[in-house]
Amino acid sequence: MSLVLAVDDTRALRNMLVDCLRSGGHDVIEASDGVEALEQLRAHKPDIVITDLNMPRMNGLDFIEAARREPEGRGLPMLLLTTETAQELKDRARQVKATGWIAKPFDPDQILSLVARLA
Amino acid sequence: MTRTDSAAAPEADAPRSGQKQYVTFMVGDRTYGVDIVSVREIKQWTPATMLPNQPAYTRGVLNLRGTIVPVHDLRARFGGPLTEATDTHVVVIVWIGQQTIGILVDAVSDIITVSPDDVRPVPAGVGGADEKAISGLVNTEAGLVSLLDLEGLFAANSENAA
Amino acid sequence: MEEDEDYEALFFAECADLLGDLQEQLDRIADGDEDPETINAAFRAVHSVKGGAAAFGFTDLIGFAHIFETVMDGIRSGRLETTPDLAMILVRAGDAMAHLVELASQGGGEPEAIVPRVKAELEEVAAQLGAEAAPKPQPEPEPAAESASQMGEAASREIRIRFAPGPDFFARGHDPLRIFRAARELGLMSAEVEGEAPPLSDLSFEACPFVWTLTFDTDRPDAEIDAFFDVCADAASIERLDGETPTEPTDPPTPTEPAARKQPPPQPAASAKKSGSGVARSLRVDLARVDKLVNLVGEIVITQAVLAQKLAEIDGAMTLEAGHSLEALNRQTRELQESVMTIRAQPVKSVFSRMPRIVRDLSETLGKRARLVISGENTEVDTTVIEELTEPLTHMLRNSMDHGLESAEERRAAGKPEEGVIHLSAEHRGERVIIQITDDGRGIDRDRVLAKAMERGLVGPGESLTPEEIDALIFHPGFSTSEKVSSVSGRGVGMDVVKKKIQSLGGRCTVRSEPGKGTEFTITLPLTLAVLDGMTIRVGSERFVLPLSSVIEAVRLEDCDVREMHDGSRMIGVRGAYLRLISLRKTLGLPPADAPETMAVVADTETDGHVALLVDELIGQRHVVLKSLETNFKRIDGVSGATILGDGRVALILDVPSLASLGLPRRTMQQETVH
Repeated sequence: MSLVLAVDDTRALRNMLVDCLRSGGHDVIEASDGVEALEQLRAHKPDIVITDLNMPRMNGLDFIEAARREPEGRGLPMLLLTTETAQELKDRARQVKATGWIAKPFDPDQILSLVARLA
Repeated sequence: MTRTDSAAAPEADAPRSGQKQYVTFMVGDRTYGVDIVSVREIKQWTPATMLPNQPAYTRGVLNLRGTIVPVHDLRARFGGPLTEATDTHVVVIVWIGQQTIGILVDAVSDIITVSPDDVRPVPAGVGGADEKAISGLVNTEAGLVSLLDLEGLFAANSENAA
Repeated sequence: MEEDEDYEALFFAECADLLGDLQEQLDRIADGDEDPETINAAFRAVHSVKGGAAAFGFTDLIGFAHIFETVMDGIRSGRLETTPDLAMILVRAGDAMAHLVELASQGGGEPEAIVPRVKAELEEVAAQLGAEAAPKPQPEPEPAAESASQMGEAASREIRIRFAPGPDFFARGHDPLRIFRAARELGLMSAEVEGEAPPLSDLSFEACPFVWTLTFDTDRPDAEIDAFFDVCADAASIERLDGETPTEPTDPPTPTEPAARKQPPPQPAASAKKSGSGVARSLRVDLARVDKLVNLVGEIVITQAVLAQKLAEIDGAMTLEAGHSLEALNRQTRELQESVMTIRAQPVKSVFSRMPRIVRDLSETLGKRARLVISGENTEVDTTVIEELTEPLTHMLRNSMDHGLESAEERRAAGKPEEGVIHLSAEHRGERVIIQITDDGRGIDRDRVLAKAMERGLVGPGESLTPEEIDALIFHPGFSTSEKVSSVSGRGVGMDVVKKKIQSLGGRCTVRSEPGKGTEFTITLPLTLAVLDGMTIRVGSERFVLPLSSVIEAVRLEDCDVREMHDGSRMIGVRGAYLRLISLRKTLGLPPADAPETMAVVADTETDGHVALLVDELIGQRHVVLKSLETNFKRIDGVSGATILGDGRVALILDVPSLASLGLPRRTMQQETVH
């Protein structure tokens, strides 16, 4: 099973995500924004990251961009969890080398199957 | 009732399966027992702070390391007069559900181990209105022990006005 | 579903914070603040509410938040200009969203008219953004949006797929081996590298040089296979070799799209990071844990007091050094207690921030222009108090809007600006928190209040009252001067309800008014519910604590005129007014006295004026830690709780209003006792 870093500033949504991942047998570490997520990334070297897009301090895209510059973030699957669908966002996601994105509200089975494929 | 029979074992040794231990105490010449699991501690009597319009058998409240605990007089609860409490009297602090209360008695006497078979039911009509206060009777070498049903005894008191 | 409810509860708790923040940011924007971070923060708040709403399926809220978010995004990206008009729409939108959240938390209901109206306004604004940015009715399916588990079975067959990772395949976190491993579940039989593998020296970290042919032997439907590869469809070229290419999801970013078609607008992320350094780190802690800590510290305070008293009793034990240490312990314990209490404290902002909406709504309903000026919103109060404050504050604001402020015409005639101003402020004063609501309206109409009070028999004919006494009548139960029952102040709910509520929080509530100039309500609250200032008194052999907030003064009986009435009840004349004399001994069921009491404490019942309580001795004032009697016993009339005195004994804390009503023969209120 994998170590998943779950990043979301909305506690309720993060809890849902974490519980979903745990129910799939994964270990989960949490962060409530990009800055914290970077710290967690360096400290725990997760197998996969699932991050919210809009967060205070550092948003999901900036986080992924920054994470890719870290040794722990190279080649790491990092998924964006978002309700936004604008093409711009998708382009930007590609630019920062996000692995992919998941539409909110997410389907727990989908999350678990994605984690299985990517991590 | 089997007073723990092995000579090597003191009376308070671990009960075998199915057996239960009771703390027994005296009020006058009567002996009562409560399940040891409910007993939190035993305190020397200290004067309690009276409560406005408290029940006749309630002595007031005590400070038990920061929590406020009501103390009921067992003698008065069974229709006797209020106990003239002194330093030698004890308060048995027990749990009833979520609440902690104190029971004022004359003295704590023993810990007994009882098999379920040894517990006799209270005959109907005995105990009057307090039928529910005694859950069973156990005959010991030291005499008859009435096992208290704490909920039946004091539950009426503990319900919150809310 | 229980778990879902937990998530929901948490979501609503977070929503309260988010909406508070949003309100604040929107107010700033309305004040002309164009800081990208302010706009960004507002956007994020809307976005987070939307995210939660989507997760829990609150349809009305999703729809509203979506259009709201679209507009906020337009502003954030600079495509919309924040005109004052737009700013006001945003503020209203914040209110409407708060209303929708409230509805959702109550399990649904018909939204108020403000919602569709504001939504239409937002839609009109969003239309300026053009078709591209217009809200899509349905979120489009995302690359990985389909769940494999939802698809049915298909006939067993062979499928071959050409899998060619793009140049940033590795860089974007994909790993072909992991994908192939996972694909085995779908019936992947083999993965062969196409052609020759390039020499190792040409391998770069980011680019994957291989192209695979994947062979499936599967009974899964095509759609499921396609969906499986969706996650990397963006970073690799995936092609069906058996003729057809995988069906494209309706609008996914396809691998063939140019990687960076156009530059996205500059993200205000840099400023977000900058402001982040100033964010105080915080921790959400279960209140029960805090309470446990508070209780423990309370016990330490008591133990320390007991220790001091015991040491004082032992001759010679109080050496200089022991005295010093004890003093240090005393100081440290107090500090510990204070810092623990601050954990429970929260800024009143969370309540205050809801008030502008109420004023705006009322402005509209009543057709009165009013501005709410808030200060001291960072003043901290015990968290329980905060939760309970919304209702009384709302009520007082309504009162000020409805009765205090005049209509625009009246104001003009009085030479006042048409727009009324209501100040809502909070500040610490010593151990207490003072909250004031001040309006610049007409003041209390004393003639009308007095007339009403006489009509209702609250004031006897010929009785003369000071202006302050007349003003205080508005707190009398059931008192309402509104000539017509307005939909705002409502029927039968008067300021007495406010006073009762504040009083139940251990506070008091007073009013001052000046005709033509305005009215000022003052709420005084204890900093915390767990500790209070009390006066220790003795009745017979028992000691009790009276909350200092209800004590007015102490008088010696020999200095006062004590009268006995025909029914045996007694009155005492203090400063020209007769007060009901209550025997604590009798009311509390204490044994009769050896000697009659010599003193009385004049105490405020909050609702029925003052009463005098007979006591034997005043012992002194002290800080006491409130303990519950209900934990192990039950609620007792006349008593709000208990505390533990320095000698370890329990003393009951008396509740003056309930004591005063206990002393009365059933429900016959005596009007003379009002004052």
